[in-house]
Amino acid sequence: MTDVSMKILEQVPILHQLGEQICQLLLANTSILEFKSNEIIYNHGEMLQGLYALTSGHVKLYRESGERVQILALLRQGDCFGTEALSDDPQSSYIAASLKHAKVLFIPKDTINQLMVHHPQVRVAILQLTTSRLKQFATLVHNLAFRDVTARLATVILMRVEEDGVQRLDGIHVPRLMTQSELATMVGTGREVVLRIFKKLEAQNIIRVSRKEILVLDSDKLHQIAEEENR
Amino acid sequence: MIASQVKISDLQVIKALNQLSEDHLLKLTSEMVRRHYSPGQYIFIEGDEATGLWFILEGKVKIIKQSDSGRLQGLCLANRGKCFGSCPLFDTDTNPANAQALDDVALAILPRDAVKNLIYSDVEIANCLLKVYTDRMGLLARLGECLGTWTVGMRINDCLIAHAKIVDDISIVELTHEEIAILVGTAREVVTRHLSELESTDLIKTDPGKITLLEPEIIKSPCILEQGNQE
Repeated sequence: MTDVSMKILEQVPILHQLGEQICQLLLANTSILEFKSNEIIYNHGEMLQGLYALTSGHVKLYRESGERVQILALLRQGDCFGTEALSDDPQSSYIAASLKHAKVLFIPKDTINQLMVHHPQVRVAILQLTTSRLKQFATLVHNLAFRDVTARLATVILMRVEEDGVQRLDGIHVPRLMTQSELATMVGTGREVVLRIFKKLEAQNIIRVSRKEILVLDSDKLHQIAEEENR
Repeated sequence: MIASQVKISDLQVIKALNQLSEDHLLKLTSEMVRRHYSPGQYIFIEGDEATGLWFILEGKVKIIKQSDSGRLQGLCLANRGKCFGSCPLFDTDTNPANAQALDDVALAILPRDAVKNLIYSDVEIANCLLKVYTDRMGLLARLGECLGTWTVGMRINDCLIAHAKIVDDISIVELTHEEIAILVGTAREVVTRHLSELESTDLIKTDPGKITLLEPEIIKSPCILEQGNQE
């Protein structure tokens, strides 16, 4: 663990916007944790001890059922997770793990609970984090229930476009973050189905897939596919 | 729909508010309105402006999402003591789902502005709301796993277990095939077919208006049922 400076908190907007006084109080008890690729941060059922804020890399929140996995959310720099630690029942309902190498700020729950007592804006921030995660899970449920797997995959590609897409003359270049298996667990299907859909979208000149990136050739068409509710 | 005052004694059935002192409950009741709904009546519609948080004093409410094509996906059946409705503090100001009364329902509504004010002014009430949203997050995480990784048969079995009541040592489910289909996210015919298969192997017995689980332990495995889903 290493000491944390105010500069690192700037990477977590929802904490940084609480103001300097509260940030200083947070920093007094905050530490940095580093995780290698696919390392578990906490397990389903584990009693959480504090809030985590992602300062670099990506984290996946997922559930397992036998050998099958469903990714519930993919987090990026600036996202926070683990607000369950602050409720009466701090048990996690999912697994949190690094996708690749990740750096995370850890703030013990006692620190945040103290701040929540005296600072209403901290209460608001924590509730904001919780309900944002709730909205994210509700969107996943909606997509799994009403959108077919092609629409769901299109949604994930568009999410990546927004995060890391670079517009060039030939289209939008998106670096590959996940393996095909991980993509499959995100959309709730198998790896072979993802491969088949990629081929179909390539044949329609909507995307081009290589080992290192996805090139989006027709983002309008991709948006259209993502919004279809076929189920 | 009939409106009236909420009394402190009304709130005793609300698990989420159990830990609050009488002073806090008084604060809540001074902001709340009691409303009654008839069976089948919609309490709110998905996409409409969110009006606040709803607490069930009597009766049962169905929370369902609907696709553009009219397909339904049940999120939960909420009984007396439960809470539903969006958190109005943040970017979502519309209802994320439909809520419909299944029988004669009495609700206490905490209006949106009152929720915001109470979060700012009262840490105990803010903590209660945090627990409510954390519990809901767990339910949605589980639903994401079910829809993404479980077969329809497993989801139907899980639904039977989750909604079974024990009457004279016997597990009884009082849901129609249509209600099970909505909760599970499938067609009624699929549910009927699956229940026929279960009945043919003497795992259940179906009568008009009820399903008796003859071998609940066998129906339950290999699904692991979490306590939060039981009534």
